[in-house]
Amino acid sequence: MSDLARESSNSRPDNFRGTTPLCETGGPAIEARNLTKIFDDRDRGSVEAVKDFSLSCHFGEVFGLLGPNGAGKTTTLRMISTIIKPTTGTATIAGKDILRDPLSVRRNMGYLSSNTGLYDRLTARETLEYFGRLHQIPESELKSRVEEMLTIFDMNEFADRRCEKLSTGMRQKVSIARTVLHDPPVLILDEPTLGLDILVASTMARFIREYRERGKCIILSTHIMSEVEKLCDRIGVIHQGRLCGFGTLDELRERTGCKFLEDIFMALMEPKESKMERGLSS
Amino acid sequence: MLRDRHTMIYTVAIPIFFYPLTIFVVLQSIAVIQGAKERQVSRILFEHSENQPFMRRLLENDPEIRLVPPRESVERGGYRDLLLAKEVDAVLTLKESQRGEGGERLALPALAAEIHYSSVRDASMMARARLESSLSSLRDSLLTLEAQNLDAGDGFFEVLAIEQRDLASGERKANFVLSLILPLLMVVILVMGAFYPALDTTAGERERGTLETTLLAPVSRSSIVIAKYIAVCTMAMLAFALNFASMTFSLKHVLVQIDVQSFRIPWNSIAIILLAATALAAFIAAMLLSFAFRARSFKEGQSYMSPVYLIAVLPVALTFSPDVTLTPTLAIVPIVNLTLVFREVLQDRFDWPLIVQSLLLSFGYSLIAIYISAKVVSDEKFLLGESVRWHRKIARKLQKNV
Repeated sequence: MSDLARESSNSRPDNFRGTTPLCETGGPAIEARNLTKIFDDRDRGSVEAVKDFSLSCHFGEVFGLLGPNGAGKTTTLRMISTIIKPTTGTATIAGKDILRDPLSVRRNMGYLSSNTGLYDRLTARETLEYFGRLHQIPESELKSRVEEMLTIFDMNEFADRRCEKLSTGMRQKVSIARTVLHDPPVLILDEPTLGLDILVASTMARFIREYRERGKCIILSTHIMSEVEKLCDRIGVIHQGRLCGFGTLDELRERTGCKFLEDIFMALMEPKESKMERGLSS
Repeated sequence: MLRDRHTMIYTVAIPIFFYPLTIFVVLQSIAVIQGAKERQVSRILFEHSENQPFMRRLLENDPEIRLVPPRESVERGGYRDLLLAKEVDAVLTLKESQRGEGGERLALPALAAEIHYSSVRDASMMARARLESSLSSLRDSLLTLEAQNLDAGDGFFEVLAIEQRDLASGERKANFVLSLILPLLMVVILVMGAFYPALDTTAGERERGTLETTLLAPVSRSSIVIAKYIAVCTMAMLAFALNFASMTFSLKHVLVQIDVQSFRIPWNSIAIILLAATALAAFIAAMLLSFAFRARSFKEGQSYMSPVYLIAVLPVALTFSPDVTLTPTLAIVPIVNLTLVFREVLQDRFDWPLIVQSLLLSFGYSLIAIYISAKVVSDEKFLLGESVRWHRKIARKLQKNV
């Protein structure tokens, strides 16, 4: 079966509004197995952006993905979210395989990054209605769902304003609402607070906590250490395409012997040889 | 898409307002210039007019002609200088000449007229035309006088009367004018109508950062391509329909000037024109999209698509020649085939096998172009705006096979 045909093989989201059976059973929300991505670069030739990445995240958990620029965080998240295909390896989202069933994966996931822009010519309300229809939310429920989102994210004031006229904070609210409109069990947030002021960033943090409390799984990729410390149940550090280490903050403290996350981060990124000299292993 | 300023300008505003306004302004300007020319009095130097009082009177009574006083110093070779200096518009010399054999039976002396003018000056050309008309009247009068002298009656010298009658109906004339204009118009408008939407839905999406948002929707990539294709096709057809209507309306002004008071295009012709326009819109939209998908930015897209625009429009030049007709070979050539279908239909020629062949082939070409677009979209390297080194890709495939 061709990729395009395979993508078309499913029809209705199986978890619209509310947690899925997988959430209740506490099964793996995201399971990545040996994900590798090789790009052809004009100047550098073949570049291994992500190498043998394996990870398991659970419902009701916020997983923080840390790494310096170019470490492979975004490439990993793009593979998991079906935007690009892994060169080798695979992953499942809420039990759906990203290679075999990409449409179901997209229905069960919300993805937000600085690359997921808004259609400037649509209003906030029209954006939500449009994506609601794309996610096949029944027309009878769509209006009330959109109104609910507008109220939750305090968007009623600018609901009928075109996105091109909105401030950065307002746009981010619309983006978040667009991402969670279909109530996905898995949320992937790639640097969601980048460029936001402290008020909008704290709204975002509150939203992440509430979403976790509802039994959802969230992967949060960020540069902001304090955000990770406050929000994440487990943390993974990615460097040069490899997952250098992961665990709870306490586990990482114990492993590295460092107290502060910034030091833990630096310690995990040290070359293997240096670690061996210091008696550390990931 | 209609909320986009560029799309609105090129698809709606220009066809509805710009073309009719342009045609109206151009025609009015031509009328004003023509009127001014016709009101202009021609300055004629009539050499030795004292010897031809009859002709002199004739010219003096013509309100469109003013005789300038004779210049004594000017000889035959000096007429050029007078015309170049724009002191006169034309010079007329009228002298008695030798009659041929048998001419002795006529009473009046034979005359020979010379008109000196400059073909690079409008005023001089007009003066020549007016003098020709006056000399023609003089000749008729002289022939009448000669006939009276011979007691032969006024109509004696009337041996050949010429009257021209155009048997083409006003409708046929109008359709002929349309068949000259419409093929080029059709292609230009369809390409223009599809150009911005094609760029906007591809490179524009990438530039605004909404491409990933679209790709994350739970729809297949082929559905995204088809949706964009339908949008571009629709905009191209909308542009065409508006242009066709407004140009037809504007052309009425032109047609009035060629003595056509009313015209209509038969319904079966309109049906085929719309079908051909749809087939052409389908092909052009697919072709533009297959290039636009490769562009990483609006600017890059414009540079990709400008040559495509030329490639699409240039073959239409073929249809300017009335000798080129729809043949089985030309029915294979994309774009050219449909422009010829347009012309044939407007000229009331219906070669059904060739029309059907042209339409089917064009839809077939569109399917190929859409397939190419779908392949482009399924290739993530194009999607992410990265370059692909084909030789490396092929090499990797070969390695796998080995």
